[in-house]
Amino acid sequence: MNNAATPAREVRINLFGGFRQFHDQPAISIEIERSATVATLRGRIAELFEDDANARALLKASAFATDRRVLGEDEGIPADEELALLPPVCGG
Amino acid sequence: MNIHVGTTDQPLDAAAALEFCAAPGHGAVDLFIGRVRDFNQGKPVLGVSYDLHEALCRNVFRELAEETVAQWGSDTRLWLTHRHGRLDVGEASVIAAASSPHRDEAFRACRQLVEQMKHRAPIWKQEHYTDGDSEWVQGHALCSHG
Repeated sequence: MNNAATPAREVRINLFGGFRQFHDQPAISIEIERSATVATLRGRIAELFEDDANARALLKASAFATDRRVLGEDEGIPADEELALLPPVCGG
Repeated sequence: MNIHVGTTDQPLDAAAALEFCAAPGHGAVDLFIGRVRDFNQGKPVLGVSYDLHEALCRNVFRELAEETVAQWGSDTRLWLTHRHGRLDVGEASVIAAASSPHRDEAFRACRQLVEQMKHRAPIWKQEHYTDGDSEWVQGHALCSHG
């Protein structure tokens, strides 16, 4: 049997700022194909918030990052690194 | 090392920033202190809770400081620290300092560091109002996708 799909893995995404009001845990875990991009991950998280237009709007304006850098939309999901979902920032 | 960056849940120390930026050849030190104010967007504010991504924040602070040094001179000394957790009105949330031989570079370097921090550092604030309500403040998007 030939299964064309790449194996899945679990990715942990830490939540910050305004996302804390949309989810009762500090992080979400999603099983996603190893070949998935950031854009794919964004779509999967949007499904989790399908009943919450405010959360989806915030997701659209948010970036994904590792501990070291912000990721581009077409990049693959880095292996063995936790991700963070970063809403628009406002330090100071 | 002419750059100091950090995040903390403890009160910030302006004297430490000035001491770090002291150098015999530097005739100018510019110090910026950001403090929690008691009014924003028409509502009286009791305090602000700051949330930040510590590891990424330190990396971004260092990147911003290195860019600032590259812009205003390799001998520029820079300090940037940001607090997190719940702060009351009047408490310092951020301290930035820059020193250089002359004032123009010190002013500009300090301003660049603060403005870039506000636009690029992974920090969020939730304001707490006197009516008991709380709101996450809107900010600058880090992403550029459609």
